[in-house]
Amino acid sequence: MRRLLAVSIAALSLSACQTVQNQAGAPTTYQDPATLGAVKGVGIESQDIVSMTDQMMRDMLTEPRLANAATAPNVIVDSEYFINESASRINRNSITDRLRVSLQRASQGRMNFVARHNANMVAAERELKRKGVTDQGKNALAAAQRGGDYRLGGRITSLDARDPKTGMMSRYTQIIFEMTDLETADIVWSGIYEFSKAAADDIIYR
Amino acid sequence: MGGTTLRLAGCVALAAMTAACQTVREQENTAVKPEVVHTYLAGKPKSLEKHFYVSLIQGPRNQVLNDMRLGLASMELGDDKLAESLLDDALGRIESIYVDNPDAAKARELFTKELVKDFKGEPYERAMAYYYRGLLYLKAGDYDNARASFKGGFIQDSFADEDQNQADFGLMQYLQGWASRCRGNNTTAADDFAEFKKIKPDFPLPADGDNTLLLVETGQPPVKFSAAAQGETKEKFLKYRRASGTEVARLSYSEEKTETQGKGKSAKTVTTSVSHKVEPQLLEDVFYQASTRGGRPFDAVLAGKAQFQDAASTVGDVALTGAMVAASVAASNNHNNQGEAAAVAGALLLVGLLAKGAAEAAEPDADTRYWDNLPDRVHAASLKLPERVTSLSVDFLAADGTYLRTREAKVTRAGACGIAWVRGDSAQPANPRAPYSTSKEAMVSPVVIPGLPAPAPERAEPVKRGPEQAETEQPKS
Repeated sequence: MRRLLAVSIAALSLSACQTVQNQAGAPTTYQDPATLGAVKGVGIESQDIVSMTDQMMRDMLTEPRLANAATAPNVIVDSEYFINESASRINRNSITDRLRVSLQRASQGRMNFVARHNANMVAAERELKRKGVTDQGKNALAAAQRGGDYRLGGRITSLDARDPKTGMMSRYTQIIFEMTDLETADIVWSGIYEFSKAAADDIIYR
Repeated sequence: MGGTTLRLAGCVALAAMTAACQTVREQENTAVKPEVVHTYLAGKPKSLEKHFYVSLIQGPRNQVLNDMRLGLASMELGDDKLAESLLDDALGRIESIYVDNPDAAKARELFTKELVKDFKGEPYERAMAYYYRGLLYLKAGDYDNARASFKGGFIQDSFADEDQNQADFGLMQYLQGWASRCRGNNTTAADDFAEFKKIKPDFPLPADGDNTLLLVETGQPPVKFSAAAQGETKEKFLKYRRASGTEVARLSYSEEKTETQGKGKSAKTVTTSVSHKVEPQLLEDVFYQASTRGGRPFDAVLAGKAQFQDAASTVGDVALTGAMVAASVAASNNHNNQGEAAAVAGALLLVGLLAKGAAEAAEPDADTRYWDNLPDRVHAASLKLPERVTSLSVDFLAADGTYLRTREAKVTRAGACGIAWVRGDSAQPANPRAPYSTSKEAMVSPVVIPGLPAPAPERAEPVKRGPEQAETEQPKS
């Protein structure tokens, strides 16, 4: 009986001790940005940016005024007029940069891209050349930086909903792109990308 | 076996079980190599080195908590880049959805404390993390992401169980409007302010021409504690108490205005000083936001644990009482019943101890870790400030008007708008450890940053001998 009692007490003591081990780290792995990542939320993630910019690029190349004009138009693609009104914190450059790079590679000279985001850099170099601080380089001097014919604008918006009873949270995200004629304000091309995500956190966090 | 032995055995078992409930996750990992520690601390503010060391050794369980409190402390010290990275890390962890997380599953178990889970904060704490990240975006002139942060904070408040208190975090709604306004997005700003007015109809909106937002934070944060339901003794619900009294703020500043008086040759330029007195109004009561969310869904889990604890304890009491009675029969002079009574006493003792042990091992206490350098209240005023005003003197007063102290609020301008942020009380946490972030014993132990090991003494290089020297030292035959 005494042995039984001792064993019981020891077993109880051990069962009361919850051993939640500290977790080991995870080694770095490369992930495909076009697929769902290891860390998931309801905001804009890498696979959304890859999918969205690919779709917009393909769509833009079907617009004759942009991709099939007699003279390649000057296009500005940057985040200056790309507004984020959603609940997702995001670096807007990650969208417009990928779009510009993809477009430039795919258009193969059908569009001319103006680096307005580098205007200060260009202005500084032009000034050095004209003051004679540097030589003129091998390209001919231009009268001025190139003006844009079209510029990208857009807006990210979201609609959030949450059910406090189930903890389910959903976010509908809508991203619109518009290419605007910089003389007439005509919108010569527009595209929309939208998705909705829903998830519920563990009950311990509700 | 006598009654004394039984009692002793019971006490030993209970003591062992209670002592055994220290979880490994609660412990600090002081085995981190000093080289790693010093590399991690490089570039961190000197005054917060112990705090960052604690953050390192407490690991992911308290990462969000430590990120939030150190992010806020770094922001007050003017290290905005560090504050941004800490708050980004905290928000990244808050926004990730925990599905099939083993530690989350453990926290739901009957015999595990809630505080083994990774801390993500209660909704008011998460909202305030978004608030401070939004302020940093405002300071940097990134109004889009500032608005996204405030919107993210506002969404956190929709967790409230009580319908009337869902999504009433007016601070976030007001700041969404302010960020939209600074962005020049007037349509969205109007929508945001209209929503804000539904929450706080009496708070004044920014006037035309206002270009600076002053935010004044007062008081100490809400304190969490584990409370029992009415008429019960088991502590199983998360509750809050206010830790500080009411404070108000006021500021005065003078503005020089230059105007031309007279006409023609008699015209002259006159500079006059116009003084302004402003009393920032209460925009948000953080304690109110903490305490009005209603019950958490997880409280039902804790209540279940407490119910089990009560039932198991009752079963244990009954069995132990039975064991005592049977033991006394076994010890009596009635030799006919002694054997049977001893066996019954043993069995009941075992059942009683098992039940008591299970009751003691159940962990219904709520997780009371909390963000300890938050304010109690946030006051705000929008101002029309000339560019040359770079700081504001803000007086803090007690509720009865007694002067308490004066603090300087630096005006930061990076975009279309300026922002000035000031606290009545320091945001530097006195204790390197957040409340209840580790075991009771560890909480009071001193934080000692391990020193780097002394560099190994340089070994003397063997003297290289030239061929001539070698020749001369050759033994002569």
